[in-house]
Amino acid sequence: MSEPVIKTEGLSRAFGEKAAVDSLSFELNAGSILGFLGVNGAGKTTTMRMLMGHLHPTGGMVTVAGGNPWDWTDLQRSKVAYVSENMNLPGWMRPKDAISASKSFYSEWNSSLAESLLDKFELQNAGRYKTMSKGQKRKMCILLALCQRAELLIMDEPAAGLDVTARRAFVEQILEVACNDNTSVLLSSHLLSDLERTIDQVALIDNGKLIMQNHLEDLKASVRKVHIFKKIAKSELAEFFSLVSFETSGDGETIAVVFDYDEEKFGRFGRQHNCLEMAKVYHMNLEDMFVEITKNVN
Amino acid sequence: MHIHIDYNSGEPIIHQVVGQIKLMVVSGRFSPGSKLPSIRGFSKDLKINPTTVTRIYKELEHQGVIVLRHGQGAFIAESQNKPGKDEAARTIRPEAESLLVEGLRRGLSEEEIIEVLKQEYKKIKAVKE
Repeated sequence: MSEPVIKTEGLSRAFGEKAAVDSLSFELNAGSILGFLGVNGAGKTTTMRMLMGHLHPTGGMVTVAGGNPWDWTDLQRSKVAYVSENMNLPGWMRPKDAISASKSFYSEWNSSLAESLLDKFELQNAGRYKTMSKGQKRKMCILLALCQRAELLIMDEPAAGLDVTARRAFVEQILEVACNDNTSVLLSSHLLSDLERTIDQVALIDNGKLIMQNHLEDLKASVRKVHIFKKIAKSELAEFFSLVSFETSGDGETIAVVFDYDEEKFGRFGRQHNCLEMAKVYHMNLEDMFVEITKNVN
Repeated sequence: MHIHIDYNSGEPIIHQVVGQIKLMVVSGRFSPGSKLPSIRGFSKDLKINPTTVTRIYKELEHQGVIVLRHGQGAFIAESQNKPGKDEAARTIRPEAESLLVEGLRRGLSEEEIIEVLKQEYKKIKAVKE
């Protein structure tokens, strides 16, 4: 295996007394697309800014594109593209100006992709940056980041403010660069249905701490919602499964979300508690899992 | 090749795609030896992560549905993994049991349940035509 593109160990950042990022350790491998999830204020943006060397960590270590972002050579820096949440370009720039300015910075600049994205994102006649809509501005910044042919794309809420068509085009493009150029991508988004189509890895953070990192497909295969039409004690279910959430209703039903569902194990549980025919097991999509897990970590 | 992915169901994409490809093989849509798209092509067509496509192909290979030839791509296996009939029957027995339980619980008779199976069998075979 090649070296991970991002590797953090015990990465921390405190603002005064408050720990915004708390001992965060995770990795991103080449060609992988990682969805960085967390509720507002979980520490996503702070982490991304440390990965880019825009913010000093108060603890731990971080390696991105083969070096510490604070000691990056120009070459290392050019291998990483970043779209921040409130990125801006000079107001006088038209799309063509922004493209030719960026082109002069990056030796690997992909001119044909720039042309095709101008079309796909309908930016040909968008006028000057200061007069663009919020969505157009966003698309412009994404275009510039994608055309750098970077080895790593770090994107903070890239799809916020984009309409459905633009989001689909964006998702397709991310898959294409990951596929063709083996680009790695770290992106945060609250639009989980978009992420579900794109990412292969999920990292979930809450209160600055990593709750879990996993392959999305493995997560979907093992997290299930279990609905049993019988009252079951929490400890009885916890003997078999690790529980994300658990509740029983007054009329004798049990609803639980488990982390490590397994058919054979559930069969044994059902026979032991005589409730196999009274149970329904459901898959959960990313959004439902996210809500259940974040609701119950505290 | 048309494959439908339901993102809202939460069912792993790998399961969904593997199931549909197996159906295409069983129904004769895909003949032994035919070539599947490249990982890149498949990822582009279905708009899913290339890593996921790699895992789909590995799973299909593991189940004996396809063979991966180095440098050439993925092909439908010439002889579909046909274990002994006893073993095959053992594999599907748990599914058969839960099907029977569901059917009986809903008031169907033995014959009615078998009739449902026969109809489904005809549907799968009809895909071929």
